[in-house]
Amino acid sequence: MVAASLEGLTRQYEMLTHNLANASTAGYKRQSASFAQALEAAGAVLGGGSPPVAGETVTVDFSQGALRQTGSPLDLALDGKGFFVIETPEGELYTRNGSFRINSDRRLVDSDGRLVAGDGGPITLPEDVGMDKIAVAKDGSITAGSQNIGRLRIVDFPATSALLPVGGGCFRPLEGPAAQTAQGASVQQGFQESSNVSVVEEVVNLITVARMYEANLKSVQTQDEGYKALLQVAMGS
Amino acid sequence: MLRAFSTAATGMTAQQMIVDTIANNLANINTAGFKRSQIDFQDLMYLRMREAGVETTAGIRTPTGFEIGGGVRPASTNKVFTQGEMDNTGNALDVAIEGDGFFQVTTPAGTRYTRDGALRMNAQGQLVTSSGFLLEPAITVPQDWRSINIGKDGTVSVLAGTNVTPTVVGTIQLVRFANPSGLSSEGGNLLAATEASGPAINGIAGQAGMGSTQQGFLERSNVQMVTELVNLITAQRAYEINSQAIKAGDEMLTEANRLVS
Repeated sequence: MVAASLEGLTRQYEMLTHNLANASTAGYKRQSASFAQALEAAGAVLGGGSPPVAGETVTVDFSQGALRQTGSPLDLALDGKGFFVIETPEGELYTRNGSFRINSDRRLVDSDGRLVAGDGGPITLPEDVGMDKIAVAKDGSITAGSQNIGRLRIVDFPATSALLPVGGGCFRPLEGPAAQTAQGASVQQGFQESSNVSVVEEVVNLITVARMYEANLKSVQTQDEGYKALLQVAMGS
Repeated sequence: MLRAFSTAATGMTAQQMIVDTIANNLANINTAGFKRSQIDFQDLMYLRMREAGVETTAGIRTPTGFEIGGGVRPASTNKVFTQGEMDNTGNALDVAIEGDGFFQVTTPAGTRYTRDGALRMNAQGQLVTSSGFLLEPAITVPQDWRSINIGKDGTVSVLAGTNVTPTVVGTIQLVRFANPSGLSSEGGNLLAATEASGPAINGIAGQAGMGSTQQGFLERSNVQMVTELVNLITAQRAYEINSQAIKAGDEMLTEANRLVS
């Protein structure tokens, strides 16, 4: 029983370190295993019965990260609910990290070189327009000089809980309602969305997990001593 | 638990890389034509302990799975090619590019590109960079020149000897790239073309999206000291906190060890 709860706490600890490691990752969304569950698990140790394992499910906190100005014309941040769409050979992935680049074919790509989806396929920047003339409007339409060159596809999901992080700043949807055009998102050019990991909060959680781990170990010790005493009585020594 | 140690270590390495990048940006705050670098990160692969959407009891599926990430990895460093401040030096051979574009120079290692337009004249009267590399194509100024004028389109004209009308001696050729962030830094303010940047595209200054040449100006580095310092403090604190995470885990393990002692 205690072992199960210890394992849950270890997982929580691992998750907290992952969040802290990504405190500077643009577009990162913090992940958590619900603390109520962890407390319940700790309580169940004292009260008996079958305890739920702490942190059995992970939820991704999709709250908005702070927008940080970088001045780079292809750093795009989303303000509000929505995702950029990245095209990969395995299908579409969704990301909040809009640090884009252009590749040698002048296509808009992410930092791994994967194509960024526009409303009408990938977006190609014209050759004879300087980078400082590229403007991205709030609705995602891109103009180069006076020329309209396309619009970024920005989508949203009715239930973001069905999105799984797959690394590289991207999310993959589980089966469920398909991506819809985002309504409330506006694109901010020259900004990056900072990670929404609140360092203070994570450190407080870290301390709580460490203390709860200790307390669980204590209960193992107490139990151990109890058995020892019982054995001593039984053996009449 | 041991996995978490390496996760926190990736966090510390990431913060260290941010500090390295900032240090280089700050060191080059007075380098003409220098473009600041920005480092981008991505979260690492996830260890899936339980898939989401698995049927636990008949008809009931888990709404979320259980997966633990392995930390962070650097995705790329990105040179930010925004315009630096224009510094009026009054020197006739200082040329700044306002807008997109690079000067093309010949070096022993091949053709290289730079935004640093602090030009000089060598003993043969050819225009060279401050390191002595020739512009490509080379421009030779007659020995008896009195004044040099460089137009916004890169045309170099010279008043020489007793002439009263200027003679055009050449044009400073500018080049641009499909993806300037893909250029590789070679040190000495020089950049080299790569597969990612695409080949150099020749052009005339001031035309078809190419920047114009400004005589008597130098382009300062686009490093903003305050921004860099703020980022530096953030990185330092994040480093500290990642190391705290390792310490907390260490304490947990110590407690566990005490059970068997």
